Amino acid sequence: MAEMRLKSLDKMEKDELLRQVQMHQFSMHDLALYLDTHPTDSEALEALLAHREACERASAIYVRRFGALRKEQAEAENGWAAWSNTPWPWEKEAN
Amino acid sequence: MFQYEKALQYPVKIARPNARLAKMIMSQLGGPDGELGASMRYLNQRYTMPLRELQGVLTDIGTEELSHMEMVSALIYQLTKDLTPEQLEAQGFADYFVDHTAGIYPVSASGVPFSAATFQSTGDAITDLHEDLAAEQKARTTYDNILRLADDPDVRDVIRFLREREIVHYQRFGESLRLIQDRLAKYAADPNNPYATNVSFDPMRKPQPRPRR
Repeated sequence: MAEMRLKSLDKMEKDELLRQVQMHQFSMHDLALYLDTHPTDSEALEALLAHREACERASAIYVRRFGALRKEQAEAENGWAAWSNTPWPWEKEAN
Repeated sequence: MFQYEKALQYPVKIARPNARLAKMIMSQLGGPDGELGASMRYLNQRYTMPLRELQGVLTDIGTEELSHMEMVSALIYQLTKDLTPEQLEAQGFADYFVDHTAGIYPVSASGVPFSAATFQSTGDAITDLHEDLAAEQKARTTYDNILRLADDPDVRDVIRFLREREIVHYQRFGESLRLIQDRLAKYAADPNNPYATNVSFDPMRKPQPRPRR
């Protein structure tokens, strides 16, 4: 099952794959806000950790195929320009 | 420490430029109840918030507001991109154009530049949290007013997302106030008059037994 998921992430278009990353990041953030005021809710924490795992999976594939989302993810083989000279988030092309 | 993530919190992809709409939305960048003020309010208030988990609430929401500021700026940027001076003038953007061309600068819809005087950091947790609750409602009203005027579906989708976040933040701040007040009841000199104590400033007493009724 995990393998099928991985394969489908590999075939996604750039914007589709970014959407996966954004979706899991948003879920993590919203659950984190909830956990700030409900720190003992273990169900919410488990949900957050599940989204984190899915996010890391999607994000690793995105970075490999389309370039870094954070500076520290920049890889030698892609060159620095894959971070600095690809569309910035406010450009229509980046969304 | 803040680190940049090269993606918006929620996608902004506007098909049709519309400077008139950009000018209205500008208020949520530099206006009295905009995202810049929201972020500065929470990120400045957090230092003296007495409970660590509430410092967390202010840090996390203040950081999210920075992401919203970026989304609002992306809306303005895309709505004013590739328009001629004639088109900008015809769409009511001439006064902004003279001062800023198509650059992004934080002003309200009525042209007043951003001011820290639009928010407070009082150093009193109860007062600050009431301000935060009000701030979320004021931002929600502004987004509702933008939705009354905006007919572009690409813009409405983003504004609806931002509007919904105000409601979630309002909920979290309500819970934060409740947490502080629960604590106050234990520590305040007079548990029946919590406002007699500034929990961010006055020395904490040992927990007092609740008065029997």
